[in-house]
Amino acid sequence: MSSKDNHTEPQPVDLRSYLSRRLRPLVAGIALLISFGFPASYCLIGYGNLRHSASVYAESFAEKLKGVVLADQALWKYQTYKYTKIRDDFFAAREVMQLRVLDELGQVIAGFWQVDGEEPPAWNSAAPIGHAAINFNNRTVGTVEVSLPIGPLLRVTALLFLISSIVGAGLATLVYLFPLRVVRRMEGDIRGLISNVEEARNESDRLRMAAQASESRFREFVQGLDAIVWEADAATWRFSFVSQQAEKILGYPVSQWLAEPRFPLERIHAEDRERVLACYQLAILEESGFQLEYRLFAAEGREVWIQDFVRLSRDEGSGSAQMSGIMVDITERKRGEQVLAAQARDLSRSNAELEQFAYVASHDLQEPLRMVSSYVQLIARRYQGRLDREGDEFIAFAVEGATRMQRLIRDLLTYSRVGTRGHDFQPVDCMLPLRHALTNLQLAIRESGAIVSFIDLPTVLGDATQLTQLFQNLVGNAIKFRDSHPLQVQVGAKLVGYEWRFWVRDNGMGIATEYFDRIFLIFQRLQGRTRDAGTGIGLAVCKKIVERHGGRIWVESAPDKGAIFYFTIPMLKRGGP
Amino acid sequence: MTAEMMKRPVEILLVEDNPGDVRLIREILREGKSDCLLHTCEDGEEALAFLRCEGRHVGAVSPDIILLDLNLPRKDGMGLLFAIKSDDRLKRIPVVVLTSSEAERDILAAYDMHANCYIAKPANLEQFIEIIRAIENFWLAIVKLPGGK
Repeated sequence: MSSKDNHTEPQPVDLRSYLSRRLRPLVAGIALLISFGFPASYCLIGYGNLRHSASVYAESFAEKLKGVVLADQALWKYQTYKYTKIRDDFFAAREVMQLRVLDELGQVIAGFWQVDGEEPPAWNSAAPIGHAAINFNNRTVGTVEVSLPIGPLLRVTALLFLISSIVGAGLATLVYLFPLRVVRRMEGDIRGLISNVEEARNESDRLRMAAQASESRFREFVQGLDAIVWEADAATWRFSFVSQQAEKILGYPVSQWLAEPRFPLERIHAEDRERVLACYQLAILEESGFQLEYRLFAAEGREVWIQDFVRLSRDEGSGSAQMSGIMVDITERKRGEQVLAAQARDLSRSNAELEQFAYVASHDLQEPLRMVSSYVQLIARRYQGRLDREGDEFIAFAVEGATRMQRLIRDLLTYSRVGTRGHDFQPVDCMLPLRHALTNLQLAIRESGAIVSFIDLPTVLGDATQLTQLFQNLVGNAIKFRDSHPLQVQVGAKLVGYEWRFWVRDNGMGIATEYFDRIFLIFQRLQGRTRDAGTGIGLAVCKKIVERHGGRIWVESAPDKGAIFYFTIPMLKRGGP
Repeated sequence: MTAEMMKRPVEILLVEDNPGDVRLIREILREGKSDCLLHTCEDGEEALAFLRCEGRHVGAVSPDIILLDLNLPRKDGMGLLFAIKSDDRLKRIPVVVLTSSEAERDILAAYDMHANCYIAKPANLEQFIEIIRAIENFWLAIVKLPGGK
């Protein structure tokens, strides 16, 4: 995490001082070699040549002198005048500085100077000197020494030294400065290069860190996922990755997955195996993905419902097909679904039973009741007036009871049929059921003198027959429970949120707050029998119809202030009962 | 009522398992004006035997009209209706379904099997009497039945 500390600032590149240190001896060497070595060598070689020439001259002089020696062996040393002729010829042909003749003892017999008549300068033994012996009868009788002038050589050498020094110094300077200039330029480049490299290293460090962070985040995410994330080769079914949760969900250690090819396939529930394998085969063939639900046996033999989301992909490098997937434990959901399915079965069975009950009630219960009522009426018909007054009264009660019970049974049927005999929902323009309901109520409306007004009603998804009944019951109720003053009934609807809110408003006798809930219960009546002959089924049926349509029904009212019945129907279908 | 019709009483077959209803219908018919003979059967099998003059009904008369309840023991009313209407010798006999069921599916099923009319028994005696009178007036007086009645 502290890579900032790891790499320090780039060191200043000082190639020049390094190179300069290394170059200095070389440059000095070159300068010395050229400025001294060259003239020195010249001088030495020149000196050698001069000495050689001197020796040759000395030989030649000694040869010439041999004649004089032959002429007079004893006196030749003293006959120096004889040498003069030789000397003149000799000097004329050569640039000889000085010439000496020595006897056998090394005593100088005669000395000659190039310029005649002048006293010769002192013998310069540093000058190039050549020796030659004068031999006679195999005996050295004297020596000739020739000294050549050294001045020209020294002058040329000095000049050469001058030139060499200049050339050497220049060359040395060049040799010293040129690499330094090159290096200076290179230094800039190298510095740029180094900073580029540094930058690149920083960047790559940063990227690596980001990649590491991202990978560790991804790893944590994958490992933390409450599902088995896996990857396997499609051909061999060998797993290359299985997330840690596998152990928690199925109980097998991840190592077992990785070690055994086809690991989960061997643990599929026998009933699901064929289906799952077929699905995998097809997916591998088509290189497509799929998702499937099946059962796996966990380590402890428990059945686990798995939802497997599988993807096929082809590895670009190796060209082999890879499978990857996520297995989610949906056991709880499946259990819930099974419970729900069982409940749905129960519900539909109980609905069927209810329907059967309704049919039984309509037929079998009415039958004996009809007998009671018919025969009581037959008795009344045959024996009216033949019994006493009490007898007639009793018969009247029996007839009324039977009739009333019959109506109760019929209403109960009507109520139960809202759920069991409803039609499928279809778009219904609510104006149609309202008009239908008003037509059915025509007589009651005319008799009561009620004024029924309405605004445009919307189209909803519903059962037209039941909606007719709903409007008929609500408007009918308003008429039934009207006050002494002229009745006005108003029907309307408006959109509130996602549902239509309908209302039926009247100016009738109203309802006290404490009865708001009770009026919607079956066979609950607020009026005594004398006032109306209803069984109290109307609003209960309304409630059931509204609830079947996915809405609610309620009332707002106060005694003598009229009542508003509201009910809602969703804009969109929410499914039937 | 023509003089000709008075010659022979109308034969009515009532298929009804409830003796209360049988008695009630008999009483109402007795109060009425028409001259008719009421035969009763308690279940579908017996009614079919009666119509085909089988078993103990050998020599039974062929009824001019059948009043049929649907809720019967053994062969039920629908089964009997189907048997009658698919029998060439019986299918012309008008069948008036007289039952306490008001179920839509019963009504449709009865007409599907060519019932001649369907009447729900009312709870009220007055209405019941009215209905029996209407049957008398219509089926026994106005309607021309097969067999010259």
